[in-house]
Amino acid sequence: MSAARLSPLNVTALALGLAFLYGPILLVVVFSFNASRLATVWAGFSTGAYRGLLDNAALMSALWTSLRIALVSACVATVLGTLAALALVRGGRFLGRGMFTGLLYVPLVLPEVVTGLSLLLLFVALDLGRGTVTVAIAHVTLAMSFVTLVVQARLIGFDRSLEEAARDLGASPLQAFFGVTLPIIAPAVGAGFLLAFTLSLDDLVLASFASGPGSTTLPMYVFGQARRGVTPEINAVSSLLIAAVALTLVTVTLLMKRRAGASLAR
Amino acid sequence: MDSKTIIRIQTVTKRFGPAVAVRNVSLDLAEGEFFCLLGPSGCGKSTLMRMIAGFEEPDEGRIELDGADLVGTPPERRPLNMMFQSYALFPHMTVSGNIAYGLRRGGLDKAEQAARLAEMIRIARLDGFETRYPAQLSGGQRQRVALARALARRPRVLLLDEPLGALDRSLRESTQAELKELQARLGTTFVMVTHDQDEAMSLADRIGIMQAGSLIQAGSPREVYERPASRFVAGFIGAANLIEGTIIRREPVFARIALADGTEIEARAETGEPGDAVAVMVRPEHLSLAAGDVPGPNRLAATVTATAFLGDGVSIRARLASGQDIRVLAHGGAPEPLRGEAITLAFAADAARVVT
Repeated sequence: MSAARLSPLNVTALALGLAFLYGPILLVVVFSFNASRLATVWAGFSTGAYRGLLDNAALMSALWTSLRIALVSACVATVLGTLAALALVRGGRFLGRGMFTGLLYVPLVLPEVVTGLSLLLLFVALDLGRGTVTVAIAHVTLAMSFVTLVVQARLIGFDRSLEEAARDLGASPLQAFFGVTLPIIAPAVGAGFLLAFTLSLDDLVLASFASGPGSTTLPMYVFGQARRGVTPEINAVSSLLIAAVALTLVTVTLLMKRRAGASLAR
Repeated sequence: MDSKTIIRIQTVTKRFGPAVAVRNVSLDLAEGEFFCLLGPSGCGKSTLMRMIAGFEEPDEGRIELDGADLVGTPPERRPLNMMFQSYALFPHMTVSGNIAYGLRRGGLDKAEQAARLAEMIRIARLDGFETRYPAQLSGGQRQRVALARALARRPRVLLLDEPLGALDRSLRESTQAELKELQARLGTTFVMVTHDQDEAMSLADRIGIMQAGSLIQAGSPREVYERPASRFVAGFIGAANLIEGTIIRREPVFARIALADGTEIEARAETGEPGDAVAVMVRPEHLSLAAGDVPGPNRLAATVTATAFLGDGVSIRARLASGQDIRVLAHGGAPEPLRGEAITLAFAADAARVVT
């Protein structure tokens, strides 16, 4: 790795690529510190927008709704996703296994508008009042696939003889799972949970379809506000969301890289 | 062995789909013995061991421990433990945590558990490593943790799946000696699976040789070496020359065999009728160089193709008139023949065996 030197061309390409990816995001962060109320005019540095956030009741309520939905949907998606991964990896060659594996990718590639619309139809058909519960259900359907894929990858590399050793040493199948399997796949389960959490926190489209009165999520609030003009406050909220997501992604990456025992062994 | 039977395997068969992994195997294991299941990979030895441990259930037959049928009992309720080939150490637990894992479910009180753990640490020479994680240990240390963990519950039988396979050569030999010494000291019945015949010969009280799912022969290392039940066993245990021929006369103990080139030789025979195509097994160390002009029984004419000086003897490769290659281990002091030289090989009829 160290032997290869970056040529000037490579450096330029890299810089342009990164600028293209992160320039707009950086702009949002920079303008969140703008002293001016107008988004396009720079009037000096100020943290006023951040301080103003706490006083904005509608925004705080949207944030609280988002966090609640994210927590609940991430928990449910993690449990269901992990169970699905166990079934797909351990279940042997049951009928429809290939189909189920393929179906995992559908929520990842299906346009969210379509998913959202179909969920809306379902909720209406079931006469389910739309609110935080329906948004959480919608987020579970999306996030579960991610959790399953992440946990599945970890389970495929899992040495079954560890479970057999636990059984051999007197553990019941359940004791072996909670004492040996789960702690070893925990980084993947944790990564799945964080992914599910951020997916829910970020989502605008599904939430727009599934939410009802009083269940405005933070992205919905931001989107609504932005249509009336971008203020430093919106930029500040967005910056905080960016920070939260970035932090989560870094954590997920670290969790996924972490080999069982290797990092514990310190 | 006149000690009592601890494990009785009766007509056990195991199939995986259309493939038969273990075919009608019956075997009695005596209490306190060191038994090796030996065979090439895929011969069913691991499957047989996994059925004893309870990870697989036989399709037919019974496996008894102390006279009670084990079939249907889950592994956690069988009073035997297994040391896994990959060691299967729990990566998220320390050395102590690994060894104590089975003790926590053994019905012992805290003080007994702690005492047993300390004893195991001492036996496995892991003092000072109690709080390390498996990833921080050397291969030899991991092997000892796995052994200590499997022995901690004082199993009636310890099952060992290629326990030395992951160690390098020099470590393996010293570990073999330790394992044998430990087994003798504890008096626990050991059943080991291996594909390494040297390992089986040096460790086992008895060896069971498996081929294609069947148990071909079980006996002491000396028995299987000197009286192999088949060509396969003869070739698998130690170096063997298998000289092809046809029985022409059968006597109570010996048989007379004619080789393709007309040479007639005599060998010990337990089976075979006149007219049967058989092989005569002669170990390289039982062949000697004879003066060509002295007639006698059991002489083979051959041409030297290669020689190697081994210090305590000379290894000679030669080709018989039939074109078959033959190995000779001549003891020190014998004159070293030259490559291409015509030699005459002699052997005692007692040292040769007819195998089918």
